[in-house]
Amino acid sequence: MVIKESKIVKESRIICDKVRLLSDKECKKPVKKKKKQSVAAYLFIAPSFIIYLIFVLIPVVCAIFMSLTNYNMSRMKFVGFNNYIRLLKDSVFIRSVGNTVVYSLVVVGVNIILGLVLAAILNQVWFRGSGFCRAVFYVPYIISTIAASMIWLYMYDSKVGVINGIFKIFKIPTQSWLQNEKLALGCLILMGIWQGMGYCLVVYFSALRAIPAYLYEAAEIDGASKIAQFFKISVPMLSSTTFFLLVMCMISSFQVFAQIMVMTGGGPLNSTTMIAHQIYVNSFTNYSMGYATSQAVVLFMIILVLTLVFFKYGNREGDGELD
Amino acid sequence: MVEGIVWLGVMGLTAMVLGTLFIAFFTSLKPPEETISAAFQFFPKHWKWSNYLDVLRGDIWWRYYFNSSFVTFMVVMLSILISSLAGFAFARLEFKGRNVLFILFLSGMMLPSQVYIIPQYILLKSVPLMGGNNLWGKGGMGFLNTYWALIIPFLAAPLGVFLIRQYYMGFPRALDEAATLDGCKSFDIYRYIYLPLSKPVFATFAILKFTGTWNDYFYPLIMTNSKSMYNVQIALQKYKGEFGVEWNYLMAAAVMSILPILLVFIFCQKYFTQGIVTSGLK
Repeated sequence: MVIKESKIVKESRIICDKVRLLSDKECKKPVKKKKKQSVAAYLFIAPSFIIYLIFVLIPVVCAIFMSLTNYNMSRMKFVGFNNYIRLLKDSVFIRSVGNTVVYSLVVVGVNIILGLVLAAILNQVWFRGSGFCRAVFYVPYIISTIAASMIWLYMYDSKVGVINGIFKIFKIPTQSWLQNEKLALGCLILMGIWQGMGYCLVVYFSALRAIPAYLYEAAEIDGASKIAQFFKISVPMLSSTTFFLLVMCMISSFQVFAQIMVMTGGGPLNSTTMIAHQIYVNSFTNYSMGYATSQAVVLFMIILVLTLVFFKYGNREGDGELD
Repeated sequence: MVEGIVWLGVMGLTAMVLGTLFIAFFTSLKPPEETISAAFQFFPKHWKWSNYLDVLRGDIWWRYYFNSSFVTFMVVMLSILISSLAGFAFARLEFKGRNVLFILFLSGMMLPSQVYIIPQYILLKSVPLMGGNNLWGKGGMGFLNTYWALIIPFLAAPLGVFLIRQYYMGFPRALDEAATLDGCKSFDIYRYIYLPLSKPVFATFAILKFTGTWNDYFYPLIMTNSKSMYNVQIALQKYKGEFGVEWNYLMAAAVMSILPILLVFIFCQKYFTQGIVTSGLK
């Protein structure tokens, strides 16, 4: 065995020397090779990039220009910042921004806290059926928002709905959930939590798995309780995951659209209209595309600023992490 | 003791989530008179499986399912192909402007589609010589209401390029060097070394793209307006408009629209989780 191995080592050494010689030769003509490679690289990227350029990058630039015009599918006139001034006076749009912010803050906040707590519980050794729970929580996240809206429309229905049905059993006064100006936004929020919780849970769960076990073992020896371990080890170790989730969930919850189209249509009395819904109504119902684009640019700016803030803050937090 | 209470609490929450899903399923099996009775009942008294057949007969669902399946299939296949090409170049090849191009790609993951969808709409409407347009893209509908409009813009997938690049970065460089010594060109390296080894990342990305495309509502809502081009999601929403409060039919239609996603989820759960984890934690 020993002799055989040393033979292999010898052989491999010879091969290595040959390789080195060859690669030295290659190195003598590096310029030509690089040029060739970069042509090939552009060809590799071309299909993706051309489509991306035509269908995303150029449209974004056009959108910024269009937001300065009064384009309405037939004529286009440059109006400067008039659209943006109009935005500030548009009470419906301001309402929609307020609704979106409330919706996003509550949904993202609850989902992140709930996802973290559930992940920590499901990660415990004694927890039976952890995989099953994770799978169940994850299903609402992967089904389409339209199908989910149908389910919740039935849940919230004022006459035959499930929630009112259960209320009747316990003799609690029933509500007309989605038709009530004060309750409708809350209903959408509850559905948003139902939809997004599983995502946070699964991301946190796999991040928890990556935390080295010796940290918990050391804490155990020092006599730290499970709750202390959660706050002193899990939460700080997961800070980069938390910031990632904040960014991803904020981006998607600021664009909430389909459930509003299906469930409330923005009503009653604009109590559930959101930015994306306003953009749709203005562009494809009122055909004031210039104005709608300026709203879209505002939406983008909000998302951009939030992302930058999170990234800056998130990176700083990440510095203190163990490796 | 504490553990038991916590376990019960989490299981209760799980049961509530599962309950909402089963309510949809059981409602889809109820006869109409049971869905409009005010007293809530979880299980149907009479199991009416024919609701599903009634829904399928009531509208051109086969067409909607074909549209959704065809578009999803094409988008998944083609975007994997071109994203892996780009991902390979970003991971392994040296060229001018690599970082700038890559950041341009990444920024696309953050852009809300509402920003560019209106110019996109106008762009697709004015494709020259298509859909009754003249040479200057005027007069007709262009690519609107065609499969082209639903497929082409989604082929460029920043997320895919990112995922695949990350995956390829993990390959030992010695592989490329060995292949170069054997006289392989970049494309051969990609074709014979990287492509055969990228099954896991392709599966992960395919699932993300599959759910995204199958569930998409906003984009096809704007780009299609004839019944024969609707996808399942739009059809479901319009179905609600037409049939209003026939909950049993509505739920049957909803359950059917979820089914493909659910099947893929059950059989490929590993890749589902991997998708969000790899796109998330790196």
